Amino acid sequence: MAEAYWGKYWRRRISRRRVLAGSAAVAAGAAGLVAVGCGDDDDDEPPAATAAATEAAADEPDESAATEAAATEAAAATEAAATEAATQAAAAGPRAGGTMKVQRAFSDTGYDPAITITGYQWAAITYNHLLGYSLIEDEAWGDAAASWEQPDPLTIVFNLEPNLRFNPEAADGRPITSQDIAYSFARLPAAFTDLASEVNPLQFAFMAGFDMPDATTFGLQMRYPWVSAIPSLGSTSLGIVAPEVVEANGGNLTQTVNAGGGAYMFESRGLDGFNSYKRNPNYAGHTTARGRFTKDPPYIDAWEDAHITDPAAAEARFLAGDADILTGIVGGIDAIKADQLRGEDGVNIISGPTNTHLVMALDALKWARFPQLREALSLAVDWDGYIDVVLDGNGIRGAPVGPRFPAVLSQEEIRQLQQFDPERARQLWEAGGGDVVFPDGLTTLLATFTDTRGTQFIAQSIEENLGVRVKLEPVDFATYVSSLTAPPGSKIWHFALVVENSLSTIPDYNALTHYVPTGYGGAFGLFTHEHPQAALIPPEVIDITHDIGKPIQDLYNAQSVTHDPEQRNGLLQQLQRLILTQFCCTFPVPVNATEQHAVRTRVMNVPPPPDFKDNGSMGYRRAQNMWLADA
Amino acid sequence: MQAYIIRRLLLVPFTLILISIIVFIFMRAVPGDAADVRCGAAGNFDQQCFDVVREELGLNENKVNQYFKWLGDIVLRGDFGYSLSQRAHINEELGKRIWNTAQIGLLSIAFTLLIGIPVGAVSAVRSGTMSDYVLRFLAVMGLSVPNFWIATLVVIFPAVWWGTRVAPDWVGWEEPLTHLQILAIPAFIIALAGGGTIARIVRSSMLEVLRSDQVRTARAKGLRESVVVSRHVFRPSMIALFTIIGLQFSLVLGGSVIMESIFNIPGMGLWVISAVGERDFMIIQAVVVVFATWFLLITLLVDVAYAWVDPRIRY
Repeated sequence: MAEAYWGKYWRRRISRRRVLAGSAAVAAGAAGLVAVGCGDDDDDEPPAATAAATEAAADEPDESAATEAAATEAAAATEAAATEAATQAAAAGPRAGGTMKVQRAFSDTGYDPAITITGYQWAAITYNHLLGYSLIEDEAWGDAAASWEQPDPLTIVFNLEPNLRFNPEAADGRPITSQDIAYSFARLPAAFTDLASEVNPLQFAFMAGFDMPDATTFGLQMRYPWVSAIPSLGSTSLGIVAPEVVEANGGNLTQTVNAGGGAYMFESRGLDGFNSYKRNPNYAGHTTARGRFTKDPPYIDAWEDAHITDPAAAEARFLAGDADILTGIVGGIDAIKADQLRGEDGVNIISGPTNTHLVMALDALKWARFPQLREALSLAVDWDGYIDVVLDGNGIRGAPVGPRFPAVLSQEEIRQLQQFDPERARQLWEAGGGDVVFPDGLTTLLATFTDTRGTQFIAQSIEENLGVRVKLEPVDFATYVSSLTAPPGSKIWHFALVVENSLSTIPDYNALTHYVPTGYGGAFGLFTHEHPQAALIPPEVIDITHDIGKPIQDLYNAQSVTHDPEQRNGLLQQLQRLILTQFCCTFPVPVNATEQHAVRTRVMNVPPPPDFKDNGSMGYRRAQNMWLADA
Repeated sequence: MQAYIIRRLLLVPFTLILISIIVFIFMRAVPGDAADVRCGAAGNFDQQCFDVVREELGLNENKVNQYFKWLGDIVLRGDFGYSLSQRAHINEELGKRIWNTAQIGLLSIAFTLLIGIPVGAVSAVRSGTMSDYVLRFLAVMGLSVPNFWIATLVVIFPAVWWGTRVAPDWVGWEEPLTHLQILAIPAFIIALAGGGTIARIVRSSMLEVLRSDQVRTARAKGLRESVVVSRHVFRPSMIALFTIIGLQFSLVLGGSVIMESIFNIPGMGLWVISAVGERDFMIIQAVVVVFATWFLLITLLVDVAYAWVDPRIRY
């Protein structure tokens, strides 16, 4: 019967006349609607009912004004009530519950904490870590570790929290033991060599072996007495995974979630990284509250994490209350945006010192043989002008150790070592034969995610003060990265701006890695004969840069194993002076003095910058004492 | 006609192969690959990392072998390969995303016709009047104002002024009305440019017919103007429409890339934008092949329909 019913339609022949007539009928109908909508000369006379309504409205202006005023008052009262409620809630103290709504610019690129660092916010909240480290407090707080001691420079012994368990979907929610931590850490080098892990080896290269005398004691043996071991162990990449889950998934967790025992666990994963998280029912909190870790499980019940690529869409979501935080990809929101948002209802602007680090990298192979030209390049840029123009006056001179490290040179000393002297710059350029060495001028990379204004400012300074043409090469992210890290001799650029926004857990990694051969310095072409990759580079090429790179590398190595703070600071200051007087092959560039982030007023206890950012080990995603006033 | 359709269908695979060769060569001609992004961005200046990733992706192989392996996997097994940036096989996600993009595409074509035909028709019938000028102005506006700009305003202004969003986050058909709201706004914005084009084509086509002898005869017979327009002007004018509908699909596909990014719609456009930044060749190639197939089939369908609605056309 049903078949006969539908069959008559299928068998029916559709003629072209019918189709055209149908199209015409639809078009005519729609045209009629448009014609009515448009109106014309005949429609000048308003219908009586409309005219009467207009007249009535005109007769009673006070009533509509009163209605509008009442609505405005009501809205204001609602806002005031909300603000009042938030104030009262804040006064009443933390409360549990609610869903935190956040957003991020990067998509998910895998779910293995030992492999993925791009957009890895999930690793911060779904995995335990031995420690958390706060830049503000300059202090480590136990997370999975209840306490720890360092009996000798090469050993750290951790006593684990007694009630650690995996979430119910990982290893049946069994207790987490010291064996699991050893397994998780032992995976890191293997993941780096075999699975193209993004985790920087500096974070695990110091680990020599592990001792597990019992289930709740974990001993870490170090290859060398690395001074930054404790901050490094707070890194988000060092999550504790369930070995059974890893093995069951062929040795990696790139497509597997809920393999840990963090405070939260995945509830759902949407296309393009629209994730939601719920409480891990097995998470017991900490035996004592310390720093931003609470004694009980975190206050917030759940998280919604959206992947939003478009900045306007991200701002709209924030303004509409669909996101609790608005921040930038690198650093925070700009000062103008912060000022705009400061007056908005329900919005707080939090600010604090930045931990951003920016450098101007030189292709070492092109510059190493020409000390006069390197110095001329540095002298040609007005770095204080950079602060005024590019950073709108809110800036400080960059330092090779980054802005937050205790050993940072004073601003006055940096000014002395990194002067602006266009006259001398021109003399040095001419004396060094700059126009002969670089007959086609200089090339730099213009990438939107670094700082286009900064690049343009520096390029313009060099053109004006050295009289050399600077070509700006626009690049997308992939081209930028591949150009920066291209092998010596094949880099298309002479200098380029490079921003650092990651790993605020390891201060001496953060910034200094850009200057040393074993870090990004090597990527920029600064090699020594002792470099791990030296075998891949022709020796005659390394000869060119070795003498410059060697003292930098030696000082870097020395400071990294010097535990006496005063002695270490001395070495670091010596290293900074060396970098700033060799002019090779990385110059620190000024950075913002402070950064701002916009947060909805309902979110309490948000860690301010520089701890705010989630890529630091104590970013807001791991702040368990954060709570929602309207929960 | 059948012979024509068979000829066109036989051309589709050859065209696709040509497109696949072009996209394959161009993707490898630009600087950087997934290994650079994966290893270099993290500061892992480690040759082993590059080697592992390139081996995993087959980038160490001869380029010709790479191409034939990729093409062979698609043709023989329908397998578009493995994405390094997503660390997952492409097929599963491709299926979901095609449908999401298709929904916007179909809706925007519908909006294009609903805007373009009436506006063009009224403009033609009222040629030389204020209505005509206003509608032509609007059509040109639709054509000339970039849709990404309109989309950005639509996203940001309601949030700034009223603290609300007109386009919520993607929900799927579990919430039909919200889902339609999410689809309708980007589809409408994409349709503005296409609607303007169609309005201008319909107007000029109708004006031509309006001045023809058959219309003069119909009027001379004493037929009412509404009958003249609907029966003797609309029908022949609609034929011209078919020539450009196919072209509108390319606009729709291009527009969806931007709209999906602005409205956070998990379709092929948003996917390919991420993939370009990550130099994920496999995703880019898969999306281009799917878009090209889609466009070729639609063009074929339109060409066939064109011959069908106009008996004078013979292939």
